[in-house]
Order: sequence, then C-alpha cells, then structure tokens
Amino acid sequence: MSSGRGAPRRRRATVAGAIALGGWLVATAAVAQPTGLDLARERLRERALAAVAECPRGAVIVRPRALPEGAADPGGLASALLAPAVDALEAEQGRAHLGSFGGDGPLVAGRLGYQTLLDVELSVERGHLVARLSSFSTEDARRRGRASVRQRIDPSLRRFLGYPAVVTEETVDARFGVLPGRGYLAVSAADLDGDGGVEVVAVHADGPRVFRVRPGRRRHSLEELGRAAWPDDLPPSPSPRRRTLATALARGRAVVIRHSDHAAPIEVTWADGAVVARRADGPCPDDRYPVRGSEEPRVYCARLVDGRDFFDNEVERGGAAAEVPMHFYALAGRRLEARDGARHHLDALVNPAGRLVLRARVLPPPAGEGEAAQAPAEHSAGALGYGTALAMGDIDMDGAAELLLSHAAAAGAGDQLSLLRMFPRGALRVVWRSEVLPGSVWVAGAGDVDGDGVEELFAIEEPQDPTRGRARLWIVQ
Amino acid sequence: MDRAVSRAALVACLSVGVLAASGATPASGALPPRHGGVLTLPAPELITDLDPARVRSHFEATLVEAIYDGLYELRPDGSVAPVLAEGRPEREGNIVRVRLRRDVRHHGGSTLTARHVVRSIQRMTTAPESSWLLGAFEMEGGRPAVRELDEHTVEMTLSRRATRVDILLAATPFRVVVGGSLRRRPLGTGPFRARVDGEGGVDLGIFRFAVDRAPWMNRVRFVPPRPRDAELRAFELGELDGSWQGRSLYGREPTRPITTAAANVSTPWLLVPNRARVLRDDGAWGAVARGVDRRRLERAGLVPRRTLSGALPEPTLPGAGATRDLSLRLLVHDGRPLEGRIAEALAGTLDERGVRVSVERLSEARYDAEVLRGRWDLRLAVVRPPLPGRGPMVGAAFAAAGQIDRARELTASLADPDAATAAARDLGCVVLGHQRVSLHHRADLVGLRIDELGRLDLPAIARARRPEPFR
Repeated sequence: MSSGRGAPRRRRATVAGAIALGGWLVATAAVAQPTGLDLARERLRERALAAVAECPRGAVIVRPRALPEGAADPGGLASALLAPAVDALEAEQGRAHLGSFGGDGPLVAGRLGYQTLLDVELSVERGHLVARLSSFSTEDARRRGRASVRQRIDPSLRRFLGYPAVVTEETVDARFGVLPGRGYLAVSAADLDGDGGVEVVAVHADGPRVFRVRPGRRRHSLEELGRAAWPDDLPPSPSPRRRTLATALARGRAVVIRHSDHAAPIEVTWADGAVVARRADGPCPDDRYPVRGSEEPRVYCARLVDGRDFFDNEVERGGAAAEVPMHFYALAGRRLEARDGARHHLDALVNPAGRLVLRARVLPPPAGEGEAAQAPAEHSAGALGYGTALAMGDIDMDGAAELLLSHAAAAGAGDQLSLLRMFPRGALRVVWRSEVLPGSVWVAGAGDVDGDGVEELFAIEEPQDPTRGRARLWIVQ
Repeated sequence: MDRAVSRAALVACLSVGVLAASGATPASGALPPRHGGVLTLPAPELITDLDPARVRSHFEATLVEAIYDGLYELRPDGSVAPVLAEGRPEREGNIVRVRLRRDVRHHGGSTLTARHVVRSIQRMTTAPESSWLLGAFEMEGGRPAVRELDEHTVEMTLSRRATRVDILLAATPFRVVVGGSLRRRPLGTGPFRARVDGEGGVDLGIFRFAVDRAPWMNRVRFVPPRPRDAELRAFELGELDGSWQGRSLYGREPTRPITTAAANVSTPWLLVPNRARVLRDDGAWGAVARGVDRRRLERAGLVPRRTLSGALPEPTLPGAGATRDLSLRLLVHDGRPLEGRIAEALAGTLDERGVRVSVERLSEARYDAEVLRGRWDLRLAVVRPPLPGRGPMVGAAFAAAGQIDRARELTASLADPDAATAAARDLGCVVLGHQRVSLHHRADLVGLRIDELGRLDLPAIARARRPEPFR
C-alpha cells in the first residue's frame, strides 16, 4: 500500500537531501580568524608599551627570562611572540633589542648601554600560555612596570609548545565521574567564573547544575559548584515534546540553554559565588534552539519539527535562512587548524534514523601575488548506527576532528561510546569503541574540562533504570 | 583507564566513504522511539460518541483522554498540575477564578477561550454519569455557577468553601470539549484529533500542537468490534496490531512475537436492583444478591471481588428470603460483549436458584429510556471513578447505581476517605467483581501500558526501533 507512494517520496527526499547537502557545502567564504599566536603577539605588544611607559626614554632590551618547560621550540616561541613588541618599542623609544643574558638583569643591561630592561617570563598554566612582563630602569635598578598576558593554547601556539600524542585505540583514556541524580538533558562546558578553568554545565530537568572536574587516577570526581532553578518568568512551551530535550551552548562566560518545556532561552552565569539562571535575550529567536556549526555566524538557530523531538533542516544563521542536509537530533561544527597550518571547517549531524553525516571544507592557503585563488575543497562522509549524543573536538590537536557518539538502539537497552576521527579529506575512521554500557547516553559535549590545555570530549550516561541510580559523566581524552 | 571501558572493545578501523558498508556490530544505545506510523487496533466495544461526561468504560476513557485535556491533571505522586490553566485556582471565599493559558490551540486551529470551558462544564448537567460532580458548585437556574469573566478567565461559585476545586477539575468529565460533533468530529485540545466513523470505530490523528505533548504515532485507528475469531484471524494476518481476545486463533503459538499488556483495573461491576418493582421486598433482593456465583463470573471475564476497592467495606445486603416465581428483567447494552457475558452468567446462576432472569439487549437510547421509565428489575453498571481515591470511587458508584443525590453529597469530601468508607456500606448494590483488561499486541510496540483505571496512554505508544548495526 505505502510502497507504491513511499518510494517516489523517498527518492524525492533523497534528491532534496542531496541538494541541501550541496547547498550546505557551498557555504559562504570563510573569514580568517586571528589565531592564538596572533592574539598573544598583539596583547604582548600593547602590554609591553604600557609596561615601559614609566621608564626613562632610551634604548630597551627585552629579555625572555623563563621559557615553558618541555616546549618543542621555546626559542622560536619567544621570537615569534616578542618580535612585534620589540618593533613597537623601537618605534616608540628609538632603539630596542631582543636579548638574552644572565646575572643581575638591570645591572647587566645598564652596562650594555640600555636604559630599560623588559623581562618576560613565559609559562603554561591550566591550558593557557601566560606571559608576565616586568620593566626596570637600569639607572636605579627599580621596577617601573608590570603586566601579564594570558592566552588559551591553540594549534598555532602548539607548534612551539608541542602537540599531545595522536589518540589511538591504545592511548584513549575514558574515565567517568558520578553525577548527582539522573535525567540530564544537555551538557556544555564554559569558564563561567572567569578563573581560566572550564566548568561543566549539565542541564537537569529541575535546572542547570555546574560542576568542576577533579581528575583522578581511576575515576574523576565531580565537585558541584552550584545549581539553579528555572527562572519564574519563563513561559511554558505551548507545545512541549513527548521526549523532553534541551540544547546548551557556551557563549563567553555564559551558557545558553533552550529547553523544550519552556518557550524562551535561559542564560546560565556565575555571579557572587552562585549559579544564576535567567531568561536570555538571544542569540536566537525564542522559538529556536542555538547549536554550534562551523560556518559564520557559527550559531545556528534550529527549530523543532512540529510535534517531533528532532530539528528541522532549515536553520537560521545570523537572521538569514540556511539549510543543513536533513532533519537532525544533534549537530556539531568546528573550525580546526592542521599542524601544517591548513584550516578546515567540519560539521556533523545525526539524523532521526541514526545516520551520521559529516562535511569537511578545506580552505586553501592565501594566494600569493599573481597566483589564482583556489576554491575550497569539499568532502563528505557518513555512517549508520549512531544515537542522539554527538560531540566534536580535536582532542589531540592534529587538525582532524574527533567525534564522540552514542549508538542507535532503544533507550534502556545499553549503549556504547564511539570515538571517530574525521579527516579533512573526507575519511572517517573508528578510533575506539567502549564496552557496552548498561545505561543510555543521550547527550555529549566538548571542552577542556580538566584544565590541561587540550580539549576533552564528554558524555552523560543515564542509569539503566530511569527511576533509580545516578548518571555518569564520561570524559574521553 | 577504567577497566569498564576497555579499549580493546570492538574496534574495526573502518575508513568510511559515504555510507560504505562494513562488518556489522550489534549496537545498543540511545535513540528515542521512532515518530510516525499507524497503529490499528480493534475497538472492544462500539463507539458512537466521544463525550468525557459520559464515559462508561475504560476504552471510552482511553479515547477521551487522548482527545481532550483538562484544566488540571492529577499526577501519580498525588500533586495537581495545571494543563490548560495558567496556574493554581485563585480563591476568594467560595468564588474561584481559573486563568487559562493564552497559547493553547484547539483541534479547530483557533485559541481556547473561557467560553469553551464554561460550555463544556455546563454540558455535564445532562450527563447522569458525571453530573453528580457538579454538586461542588452552586446552581443557578439548574446550571452550575460557572461564568466567563473575560476571554481567558473562568469564575466558579462553589457550594462549599472547603472543596479542593483543582482536584475536582482534574476529573475526566471536566476535560474540555471545545465543540464539534461528539458523534462525528469532536474538537478538543488533546494529542489526537478524532473522527468517529459511524460504524463503531474511531480514527485518531496526530495533533502536533498539543499542549500535553504530541504523540509518537501519526495515527491510531480503532476498527469496529468484530467476533472473536474474526478479530484473532485479522491479528494473525497482520491486519490488526493487537487483540483484546487472545494471542492467537485456537490458542496456537503465535507465528510472530506477541506481548501482552494486562492489568486488574479498579473499575468494579455492580448489579443494580430496581427496588421499586419486584425487588422492593428485602427478602427477594437478598436472595438474588446472595445467589451471585462469582466463580462463574470469573469465567465470564471478571476478577472476583466483593468490595469497590481494597480499602472500602462490602455494601450491606439484606438477608435472603423466598424466591418462588421470581421473574426479573435484566437490561444490558447491545454492543458491549463483556456486559452480555456477565448478564448471561448471572442469568444462568440465578436460574439454578429458581429465579428466572430474561436478559434484554438494548441499544444505548432504548436502554436509557427503559431505565428512565423504571421498566427494569436488574441492570449492570460499571463504576468508573473520575479520579483515583476512595471518595471518587464511592461517588462514582452511587452515580452508576442511579443515586445521584448521594453522589453529589460526596463531592465536597472527595478527599475524605472516612466519609467514603461510611457511605460505601449504603450502596445497596452487589459488587460483582473487577475487570481484567488484557491487550495482546505485536512485540515491536513500546509504551503500551494499561493503568489502574484500565486506560491506555495512546500518545505514549510508539514503534520500537530495530537494532541498527554500524555501517
């Protein structure tokens, strides 16, 4: 009965999907974003000028006094970071050099004929590169200025500091921490309190809960920093879904939550030592759910299909309509930089049939003078048998995205975590699969939750019996 | 690394192009139930209309709760939650105001207003099964004092201050009928739109904007009831997704996996006497009441019980007297197979005791007319409590037995178990037993459960996903 009419409809759907995939692939031209190295150089330049402002005018010597331990190329890092600062100081003070010498700094610098010494100490702290600047007048050896710069370590800085080993089946580290209660609907990670460490924000049916991960040898411990109830002024959804779902998107020092039982987004922040949840204004219209993709603007505003628990393929990006290939349960997108400096835009989604669809967009290096600009290369890949939990990150900083996924089967029938690597050339490789877990994994996220400077992928496993037991936060690195 | 997640598990380093196939690994995990699909089930009884105020069976309750929403709902933990109401009722003396949510769409596409709610409550005055619940309200000109204050506010005057109006409004008969024809296309706000086919079946279609969550399935069809063998044959052939009659024809092992959902439901069956005719004599009524053989009723499909519920006492009955030449007229509804079987079993039992019982099967309209005129001696009634608890059970039992005034008295003390216990002794009927409801269905249906009142939660039923291997 239905096969006669269903087949053309499926064909039409396939064609429409293919067209949408094409449209998805031919995305807007990427805008080059400053790298961590660019940002650190610029901030160091500014702070160096400020640090020597109180010093007498005259020749300046910039001395990298301490360099990060174990860095792959510490000298290169110091040169790359400090060159713009030295140039700016030369322009400002007349003469500036980058130098290296031991002993009493101001005394030696004075003997060498410099009026000012700018000492720079570089170190790695909780996933950040930290530069501490101290300026001295060589005449009286007094400290005249102080400044510091803190920059999250990204691949551009990793080239100097060294990369972690590429994750393989043998090196995957998957450990869990036990969460209080069960029934988590979404999870994200953000530095809510601005201390440089990243907190896990788990969306519970009763409201958001914030945790800090304390890495352990066998299992992690999760310190609950606080929780909040849903705001009172939150209107109820006019048509809640049979399966309650939520999205959580990190935005600076806040996480924006959209919950299917409510009609407006909620912003979770940290204020006066407590978690605060209040009605949010944006980044999407109230009836849409923000998810992170790879194309600018990177917040995709997705709409739930009427009466369903999955999202429509028509999304809104920066107020304009856009399309992803098909309806989806989860979508994740990243911009990554390979060790050779090539940039990739990667997107993945899991559709309601459990199909994983991926797209990679490889941006060519900038064209030289007289060279024709190359078009970005597009690649896609897919696989079947996956569940609603999807997170994307680069946990070994090799420029290829790792995906953490749950598997496709009925709820309560156990689950498995899979770590897949998607290469920019379009290949998809299974890196690791966990043993069968008793519970079900519905949500996943990415972020540097243990503060080691390298991203982790994490997912929440709900207990097998939905009325008993506690959920577990799996962290895969 | 934790041993529980050994890295050695199931690694098949497959490089996949677009959906390239590889070795299949049994997958288990987390995907929600599949949306969509059609569920076809037999109706256990003829459906002629869908009126929440006239629910007489667990099947009708299943349907009206899928089609209509109430202002409030009673949750399993005993708390009351607003559904169509915006919040808790606002009280001022014995005046109560209920504000409606402004964003509720009904099946006709427009917004629900206070007028719909007022009309829906006032309809209950003509329904003998549920009008007793209106005893909680003051009456104005024979109608409950329920008014539309503005487009989204309903005002009610209670007959007693102490009444928990939110619990009362959570009762099934207070589900809001927006309009439409209850015999064709009733309009509500629930997860399904309904179309009665006029032949005893009903077609339910998804309402995607349901305030109480849209269903998993796109459509649920209840085809008109058919004889046992025909129903089972259709089930075996896959024309039906379930059967109320059995697992397979002639008790054979089903060829495909079958699961059975069953429950002993708290909907007692009563034998109601007409004490204005032959049974006015206590001895005669006592003899009939004590002549009931519950073992035979068990074979007819009832679970033998003597009380309305475990916490309530047995109704007091007079002692048995002489039954010579006693000839009784027992009315049953046509198109209700269980009622017919119980009546036949009763007639057989009483016949052995010298009481002649003629079972008369009447259409709904004729049945009501005969009862109204008092031309009957015995009838069967099923008690459908509008809410869980002893008070609603006893109130509904009095209403089912035709003692509407006693039932109305109980509306003010629905939450008082002691008042209900005292009243239960005076019911004046025989509790024949409780019903056991079983639905045998294909094994790939999930979420199919029968609750303590015999209802199926239709919106929660879905087709299970087949395990999907990695590809």
